[in-house]
Amino acid sequence: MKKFLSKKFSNKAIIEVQFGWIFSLIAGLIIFAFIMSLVFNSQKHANDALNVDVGEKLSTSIKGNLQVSDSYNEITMLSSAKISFACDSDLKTTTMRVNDAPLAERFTDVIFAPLVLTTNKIQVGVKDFSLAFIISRFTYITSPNTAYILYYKAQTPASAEETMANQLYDLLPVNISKKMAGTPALLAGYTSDYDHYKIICFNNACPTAAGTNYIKVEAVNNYLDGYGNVTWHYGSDTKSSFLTSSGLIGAIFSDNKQYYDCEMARAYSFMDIKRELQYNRIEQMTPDLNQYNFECVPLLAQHEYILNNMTNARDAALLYNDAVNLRQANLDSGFMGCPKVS
Amino acid sequence: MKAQIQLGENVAVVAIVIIILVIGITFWSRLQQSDTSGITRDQEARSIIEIGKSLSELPELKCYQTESDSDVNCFDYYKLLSMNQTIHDNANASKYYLDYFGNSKVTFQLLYPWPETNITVYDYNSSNMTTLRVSIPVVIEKDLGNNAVKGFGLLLVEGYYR
Repeated sequence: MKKFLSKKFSNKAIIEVQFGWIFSLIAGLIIFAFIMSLVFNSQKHANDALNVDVGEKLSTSIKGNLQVSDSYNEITMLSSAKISFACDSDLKTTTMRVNDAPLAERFTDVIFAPLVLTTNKIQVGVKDFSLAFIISRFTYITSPNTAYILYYKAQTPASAEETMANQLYDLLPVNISKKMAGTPALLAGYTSDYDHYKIICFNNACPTAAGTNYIKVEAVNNYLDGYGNVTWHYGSDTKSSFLTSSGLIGAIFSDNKQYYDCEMARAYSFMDIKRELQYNRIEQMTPDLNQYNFECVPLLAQHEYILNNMTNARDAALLYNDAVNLRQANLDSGFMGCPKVS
Repeated sequence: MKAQIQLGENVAVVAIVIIILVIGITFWSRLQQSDTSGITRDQEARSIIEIGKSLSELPELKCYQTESDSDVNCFDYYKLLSMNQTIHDNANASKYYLDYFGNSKVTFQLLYPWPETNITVYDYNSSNMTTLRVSIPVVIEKDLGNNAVKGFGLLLVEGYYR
């Protein structure tokens, strides 16, 4: 009986000890899981914060460049990052996201860039988009490992395509990787030298090899600072129009028609605001002009007429003609000692 | 009985540890929040200075300048009036400049040779508390062609707390 009782108590003690251990183990595991989830969460937040911070710094540098026209800059990051750009037509902004960070930087300014850039160095160029008066400053973004190859067929005397290639070479930002390829052999050499490249050709002198992607430029009177059409030959052809060399460079820096059209739609909406500012300026100065320089009133009425015309003109050819007329009216104003639209 | 007491002790220890952890996390998050609000105020102050700097480069306010002109911070009087009118009348323009100037007030004060006058070109006031006020001496030009007159004034940029 004694033996039986002692055995029974010993079993109970073993169960008590085992139960204590099991409880401690479960509680320990729960606390461990809780702490680990905190660590992983904080690591994720730290990474997100770092990406957002890199994005903010890039955004500050890009916005800083916008203050000076025709400026070029390079931004170097500590490590390579995936930078994605998108045009949001509803919010009328361009978004930039670093390494898929949850927060994107938003720009109201017009930015032309590839959809995705994986690099530790970005190159930024800025150029005015102007139709006799400045409408906006366009920002162009790329990386040194993307080449812009201007293709033409070299011949003597130089063809219209070669002349346009030379024009575009001078118009493109100075700090980007740009190459002139006058023969298919040169073109093949450059395409193998770079990870990413864009081939730009003119009129019908484009690469004929099957499967070659290119951007075709057709400018009216072969003048690139005027207007014309751009075709993205990426599988199928998609065409859009360009206005001024700033718009043309924008098309070349864009990966597709959708992105380019979305950015240009925003530029045209800015044009409506800037046009109204110019119109209202003339209205505001007219009473003073009547008093001090009344000869200028009819001249500025001409400016007003052209500015009014620009309201609903969305066609590149019409807008270009308006800009030419406005520049001529400015010349007339300058000659007569009258204020100009600027 | 003994086992029940032991179990109760273990539960109490775990509960205390969890309570301490919760208090710690709450305290840490409050600390983070106060840091963030400090950074936000600092950024607001910096953005006001940036607005002041960028205004002088804004083509829609700048004087007409040829290559030889060297006037820095020169603003066209009629462009100031025009911006005031356009932002007031056109909702798209008001939205457009909200992205540039945010919660701030931009005023030009004409000092000489004209009588002292204020032209407020932009005012988006989300609160009555001002973060920072920057004043920059500027040249203001009434461009009437041959009869252009230049004067002096101040550019006042005020920021508001959000």
